[in-house]
Amino acid sequence: MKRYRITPLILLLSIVFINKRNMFLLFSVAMILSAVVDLQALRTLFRRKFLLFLGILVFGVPLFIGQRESAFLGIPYSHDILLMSINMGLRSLIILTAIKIFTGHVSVDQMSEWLKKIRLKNFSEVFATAMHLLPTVKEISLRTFDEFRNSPKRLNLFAHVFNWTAKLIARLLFFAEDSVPE
Amino acid sequence: MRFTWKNATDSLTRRDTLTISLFGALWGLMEITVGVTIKGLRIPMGGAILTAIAVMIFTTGRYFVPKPGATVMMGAVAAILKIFSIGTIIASPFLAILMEGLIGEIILTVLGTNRFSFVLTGIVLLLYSVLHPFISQGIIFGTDIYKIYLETFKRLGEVLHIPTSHLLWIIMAYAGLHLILGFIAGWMGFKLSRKVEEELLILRKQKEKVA
Repeated sequence: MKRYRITPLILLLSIVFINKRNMFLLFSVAMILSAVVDLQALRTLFRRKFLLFLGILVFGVPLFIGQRESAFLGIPYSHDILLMSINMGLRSLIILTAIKIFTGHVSVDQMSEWLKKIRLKNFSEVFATAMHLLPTVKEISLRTFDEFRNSPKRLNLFAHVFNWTAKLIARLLFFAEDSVPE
Repeated sequence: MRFTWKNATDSLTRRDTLTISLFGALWGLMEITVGVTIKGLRIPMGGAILTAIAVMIFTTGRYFVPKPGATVMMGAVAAILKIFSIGTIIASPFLAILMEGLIGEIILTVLGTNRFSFVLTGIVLLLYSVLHPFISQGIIFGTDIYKIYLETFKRLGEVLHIPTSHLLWIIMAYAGLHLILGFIAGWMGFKLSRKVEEELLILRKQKEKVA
């Protein structure tokens, strides 16, 4: 399990040293390392929206921004901005892979354990109570929502929703009072 | 005695703990249900609407537990519930909810629970929701992304023959819209707290009658 924590650290550390000269080398090493440790993590990089954004950043931006002193197939572009965009794109791929490797192997329980340790002394109790109360909160919310739907509609819908929200929260607080008398 | 989170949360009673849990669970449920609906329907400014509702929930919660640490704990509960619903840990929504709880906590601890602090919390959080994408993109792509944005901004002005100052006005208007929404959320949070108090009194009286 340690490798899932050390690898993201190494990847994030490599970001500090990445520049226009070594970016392809560092990126290749980072991706090979990631593939060896967790091949699944690389799948997150193939999201359409992200690839579109990356495509615009790397191939679109140099066509419009900066001193367009270079040309490719007669299309002028800025070489400096192209290098800068590639650097940003590769950097983002390494960071996202690092995050995916880390979060992909941390359970929700571990996460809540860490939150308990950040000097919020009562958090473990609060969280355990919240989990225990969740079905009750759901039940009270659904019951109130049903009543809201069946209640006579008023002209001012906003005031109607507001009043029923207040009713719902009051019922939840009343339940808390009933459960634990002060 | 010096202030620490530890001694702040030491003063929580059993009922306080229960109330914080309830509001944390309510916030989490709202993030799961309303959040998914807003995302599914691709409602414009969906993130801002979600933040505004969250402000109303946790300020009301803070009204009933006006103790340091309460808001950040509600946020932590909501954040964990949100990732429970996704099934895996996705850093962005988790950190966004935690940040909301933390910013709310700082303002409400410093200024106390009153109409002004609720409104300020709403405004700061809604303005933060405008900046959040730029902050996270700065972390992921590096500070060079700001140069790109700035250059794109200037170029856009040139292409559309719009002076940069006019484009700035558009951005200011967008931020202003968030500011107004934040003001309303904070104001409604305070109003909701009062209304809940009234409803709670009614429920208590009904219980006394039955007894």
